[in-house]
Amino acid sequence: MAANIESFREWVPIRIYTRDSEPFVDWCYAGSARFTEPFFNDTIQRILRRPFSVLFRHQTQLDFLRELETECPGLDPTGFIFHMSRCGSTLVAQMLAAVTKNIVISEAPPIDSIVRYRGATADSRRDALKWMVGALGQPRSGCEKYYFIKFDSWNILDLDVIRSAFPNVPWIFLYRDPVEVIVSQMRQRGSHMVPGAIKHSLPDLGLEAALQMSPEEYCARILGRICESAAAPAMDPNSLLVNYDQLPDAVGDLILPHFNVSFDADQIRQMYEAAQFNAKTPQLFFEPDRESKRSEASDTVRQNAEKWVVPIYERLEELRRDRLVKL
Amino acid sequence: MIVRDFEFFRRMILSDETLQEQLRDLTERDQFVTRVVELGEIHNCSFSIAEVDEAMREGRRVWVQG
Repeated sequence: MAANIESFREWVPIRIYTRDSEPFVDWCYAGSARFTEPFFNDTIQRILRRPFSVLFRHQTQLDFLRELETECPGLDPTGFIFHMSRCGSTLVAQMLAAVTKNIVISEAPPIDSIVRYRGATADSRRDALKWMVGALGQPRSGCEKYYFIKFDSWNILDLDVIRSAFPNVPWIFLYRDPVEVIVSQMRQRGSHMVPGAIKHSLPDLGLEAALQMSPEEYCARILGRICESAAAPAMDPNSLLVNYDQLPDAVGDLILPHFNVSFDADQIRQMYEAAQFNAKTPQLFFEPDRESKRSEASDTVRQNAEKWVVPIYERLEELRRDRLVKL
Repeated sequence: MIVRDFEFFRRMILSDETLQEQLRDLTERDQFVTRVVELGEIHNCSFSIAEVDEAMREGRRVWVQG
């Protein structure tokens, strides 16, 4: 009993897992559902409210994605969003998702699993990433034209693999004042801020040493490394650096032109309407929090920001201004 | 009559879009489970509501746990 490969257009790969040392893909039926929630898993959670999607799930070998890519290629990616975390990337993704002709995949675990997988060659990861991006970029309603992917913040550490798979796709890197980002992480730490949770994030630092340092220092070191990974290729014409301070106007003024896309007036209005809401909790209106974050910053936060992140943040700012001069 | 189990039925559904269409749009859980058992009987597959409930719990568990 084999399913028609065409029918997989309405199914979504939701996770990769290992069975008998082989990578497998778990799929759920999504029909014409759009990815409108702040994160990929939030949308999957909504889809899994449908009993059918919970009970009847395809399980395929990872290589099946290659067949799907051949038979039913998804949209080509329009633009990639990288970020240092807590810096407006979800806002940008939510603004793009407000326009129905856009597919926006935000921090999808199946993509992260491939990008971070160390048990295969770089070429195998590159190929698997192309297939997975194709599977997630299937047009479901017929009106989709553009396809954006927001990666997990730590995925920029593997930018070489992503760029080898998609050398011509324009990308942006979003960043923010380091003190404000560290304060946000101290309020509620992301998984990459837990020592050992994301392997290879600080290759020169052993787990024991990481566990002995303050959370502020570990966080600052991770943020520094993420920003360094963005600074090195920042003169690539496919890249664009965007500071949180430039949002939300930068979406229409800089990011859309960089991604070579144009929206009509109605779509621009929809996009900026989405910016009025809290990106991660869209039921609430957006409230500026810069002052509260700065006033909450402890000396430990400030010292570690200064030591581990501010120099590379200032370098990003220089690079961003240099690019503006050249444009 | 050959009586087959739930796993056989699940594979049959996954390979047959016409059968899928009879179940996809059911949103109410009890109604869905009852219909799954009925469809199973029609296709000579024998399993209980409790087995379907357990399979749904397992489906949710593996996704939540990754």
